[in-house]
Amino acid sequence: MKTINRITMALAALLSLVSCNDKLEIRFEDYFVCIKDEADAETSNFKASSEEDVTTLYVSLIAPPLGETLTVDYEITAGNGLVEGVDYKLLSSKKSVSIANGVTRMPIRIAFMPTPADKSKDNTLKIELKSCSMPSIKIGYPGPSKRFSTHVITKY
Amino acid sequence: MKLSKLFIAAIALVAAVACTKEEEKDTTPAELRSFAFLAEDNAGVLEKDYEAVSIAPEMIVRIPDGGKGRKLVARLTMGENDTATADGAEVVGGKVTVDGTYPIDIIVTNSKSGLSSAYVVKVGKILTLVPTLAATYEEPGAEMYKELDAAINPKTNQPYFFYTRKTIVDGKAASRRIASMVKWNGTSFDAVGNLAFTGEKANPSGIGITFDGNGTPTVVYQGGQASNLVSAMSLSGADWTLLGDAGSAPRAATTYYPNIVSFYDGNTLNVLTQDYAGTKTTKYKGLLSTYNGASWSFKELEGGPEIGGEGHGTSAGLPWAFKSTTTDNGTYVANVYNEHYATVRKFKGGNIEIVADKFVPAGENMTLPGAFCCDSDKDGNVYVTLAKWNAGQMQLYKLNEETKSLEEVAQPIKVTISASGGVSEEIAFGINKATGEMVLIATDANDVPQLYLMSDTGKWSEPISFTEAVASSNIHINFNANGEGFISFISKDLKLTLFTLGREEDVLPE
Repeated sequence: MKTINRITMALAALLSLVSCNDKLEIRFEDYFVCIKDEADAETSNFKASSEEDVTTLYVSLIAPPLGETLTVDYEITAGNGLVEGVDYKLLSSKKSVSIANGVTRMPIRIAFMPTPADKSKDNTLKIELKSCSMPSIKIGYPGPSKRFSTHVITKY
Repeated sequence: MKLSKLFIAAIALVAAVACTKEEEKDTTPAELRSFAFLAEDNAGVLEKDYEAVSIAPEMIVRIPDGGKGRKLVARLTMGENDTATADGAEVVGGKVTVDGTYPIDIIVTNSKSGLSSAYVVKVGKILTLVPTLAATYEEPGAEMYKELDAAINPKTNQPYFFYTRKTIVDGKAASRRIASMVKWNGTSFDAVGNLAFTGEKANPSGIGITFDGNGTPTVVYQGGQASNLVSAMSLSGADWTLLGDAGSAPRAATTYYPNIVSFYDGNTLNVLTQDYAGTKTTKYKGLLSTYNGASWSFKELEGGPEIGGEGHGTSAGLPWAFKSTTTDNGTYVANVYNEHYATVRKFKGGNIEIVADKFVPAGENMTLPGAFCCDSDKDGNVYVTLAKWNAGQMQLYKLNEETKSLEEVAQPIKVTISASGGVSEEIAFGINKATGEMVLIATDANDVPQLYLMSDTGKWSEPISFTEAVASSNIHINFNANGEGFISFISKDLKLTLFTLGREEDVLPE
């Protein structure tokens, strides 16, 4: 009996020495991309000024390194108070951002021209993330609301 | 036997639960190592190279006039197996064309690990100094006069102002001037000791401030308590106290254009003037008076030309003007001998060494004591401005102690220099000790100060005009150790006028 107890204890000691030191894998249910401004907000206001001014939004990837570049497509919808090329211009010709492996966010830059906002019209610019090159990456925060899948800028 | 079975079972159990190691992956990060705009890549746009001071996820690279509306060729270096794009364009041979109007997004990718790093570069403008009116000052119950000296207290970094004024009695300004001192506290002027403290026997002139090692101000001036003689006073509590007797420091004074320099060499006050009371040959020679806390000593300055002489006016050869600057190596005093040449002496530990002598600007046969200033930078380099009388210009020089000469710096600036009737065409020159920036002021034909800034390519900028006209060419530029700049003068409407020199507003691509 004593011998068995000693062996059991020895086994326990041996096991504790060689047990895995792997990191515990913290797995999110979903990896996702989201869009925010520099203040991490879902909406922003932009005051028309006397000069062209640039506002920057960021498409952020919440995931470990994917091993490849992730392309995120987005769509821009302007209210009837804003005309592209007159009131604003997109500094990128593509309606997508490429998030390289190891990078966590990429910018979308929009230049607003020094034109006044007609208060009687809809002066919003909605930037909506539509799809990813990797289907396993979700759009917006997890949950039915899919928050931060869209950013709305209101020019005033 | 049972024991060996148990042992084997243990080994098997351990083997079953042992960690399985993953294959090792290449995790070498991608790395941007440098980012620059080189003159050779941007001919016609840049005259020198401009590089990011350090590499960070977000960087600012400043170039003259900024990047707005400019296509620039950037030069990048990366890690060994790295490639890069800038705003989506490939970097080829380390070069890529970018639009400086907007932030530049750089992605660097390591070809072996496949990992990338992101950087943003914003091209900004090199921010220049701009003067802003801070305040004007008139002493209560007094009418200001046009004499002023200004200096920074090295202990407090505050600018101090020593000025003359006339007491107003029954609504009228008295004829006699008396001097007072105030300092700027950042929002207003505070009296330094009692006001109007230099006595009423004579008008003070050639006024100057210096500070001892404790930051206590000392003033020197001709007149005040003793006509045509120079006195020195030091602040003691709220009172100003004569150092020695009135007029004892030094024994002599200048004629109608006193110019006095004072500084502390250790604990000894040094005062430089013309020597009025000497013999015909020594008369008007430079005189060094020193006060050790108890008594005054005097010493004729060696050097200098013959006074007058054939082909020269009677005032030729006078050590007409002194200007000084103090560095860690000692105090340098530049001296212009009227209608002759400039000499620079170094004072340290009681020793005097001539470090440049008989200097005449190139293309001239002599120099005059106008457009004359002296200052030093944080590295102890000494700079002097001198008049190119024939050319009607001011030229900046840098002292080369090895060759004992003055070397031209930047292009000359047109100024008005009169050769008769008393030289009053002073300018102001100062060096920001924190940044090395050089600033110069010369007044235009309407006595309005014109501000010149030295660019980083070693040229004077186009002048920036002030809004106030000056009562005399007595303008001062002072920088404290924090890099705060102050411009002061007595305006035409007789107010002590103070401008601060601050940085222009920064507008970066967003």
